[in-house]
Amino acid sequence: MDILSDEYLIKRVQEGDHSRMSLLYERYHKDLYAYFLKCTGDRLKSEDLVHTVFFKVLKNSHQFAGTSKFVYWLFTIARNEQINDYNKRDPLRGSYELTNLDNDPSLEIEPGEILEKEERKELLNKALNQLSPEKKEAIILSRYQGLKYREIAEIAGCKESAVKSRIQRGLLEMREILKHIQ
Amino acid sequence: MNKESNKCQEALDLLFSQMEESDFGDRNLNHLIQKYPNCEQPLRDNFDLWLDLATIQQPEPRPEMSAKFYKELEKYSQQKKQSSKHFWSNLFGRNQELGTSFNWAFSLCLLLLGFLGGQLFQANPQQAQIDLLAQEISVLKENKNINATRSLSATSRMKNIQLVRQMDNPNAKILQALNTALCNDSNINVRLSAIESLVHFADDPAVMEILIRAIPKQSSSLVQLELAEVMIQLEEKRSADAWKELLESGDVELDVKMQLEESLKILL
Repeated sequence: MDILSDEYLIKRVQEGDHSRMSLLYERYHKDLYAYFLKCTGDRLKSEDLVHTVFFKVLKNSHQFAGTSKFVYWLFTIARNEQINDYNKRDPLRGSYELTNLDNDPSLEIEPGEILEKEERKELLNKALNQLSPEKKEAIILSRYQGLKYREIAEIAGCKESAVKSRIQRGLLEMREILKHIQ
Repeated sequence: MNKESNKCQEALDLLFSQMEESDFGDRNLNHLIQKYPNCEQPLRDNFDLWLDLATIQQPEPRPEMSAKFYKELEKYSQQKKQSSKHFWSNLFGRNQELGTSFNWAFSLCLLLLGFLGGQLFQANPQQAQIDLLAQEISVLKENKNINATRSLSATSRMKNIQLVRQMDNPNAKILQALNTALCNDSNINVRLSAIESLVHFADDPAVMEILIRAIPKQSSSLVQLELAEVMIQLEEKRSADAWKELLESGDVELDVKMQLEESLKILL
């Protein structure tokens, strides 16, 4: 086993060497943050979720059997946390809000300077937000985390063909939504 | 009409099968269009939307998130150490209750373990030296600056760190030890020596992670400048965030800050 592989590092964590968690954290915290942010649209909530996931990994490291890649296990935990968080939300608040560029002060743009490109990004955000959680998740994990359909299927507990179909239908719906909001 | 629609579904299936590949691009699309000329529009629509999705910004987490994580991780490790100490004291306490026969059996086990450990060290002197280095530096980590001088002299620590450069592939324990020396050693020369040793293995992404992670933790101007030199030479753009964090932390002297900002332009 490669001594710097994820699987080796988590094995060391299982053996009680908690310092190895820092390497795993460095490798994945940005990916997890991006994933949660796209799902929740809430920066602070996403930070909390990242924190929760890594401490779940730390406390439950013995549950990692090593039969599949560490990254699948990590994202499975992340996915469960995100679903729990989603279920806890007030149903009257409506669907997820993806990264809301309007509310992000660091991304504020003067009205006169709004470029077509920026508008397009905003519309894409809105369209992606209107998809069902399953379709959105499949698109996020594939497009932004670079995971293969097979890997997403393992995380989401479904068939590879279902992932492909969710992405395909998701993009189709997005195009329809974009036609309406443009 | 139905036949045409089925053909296009077939074309889209092929498109989506290939889209998961990171190197998927125009060439693949054109190939599909050539094969299914009547389905050019749906193929292009899906392909363009897929490309467009990549333009959505991915904001970075705040540095506070990592600070909180490392603080909690430290706290968690300390708690685990404490509970482990309790385990041993409980064991010894119970051992007294069980009487002398248990004492003898337990002592014999420890002696046997020590003997086996000794055999292992003798069998591989280089590994023993490496382990000693890792242990020494991990002692430094635990005791930080207070006990650093009590353990080994700075010269001995530097000598040990320089030894690592003779290795082909340092193991994770050694890398961790170098990381600890770079982040916690009280002596600047030891820290500089750790950088030099790490640079020997800079091809390794984990080593690069260690170097980058160490940037915001440095308060010495010499070490800051040395790390900047290394990052520039290696053109390591991933270090940009770490530099920003350091420059905003207030741990950098004004003249050094200006120098860093100037020389790091290429990375920032």
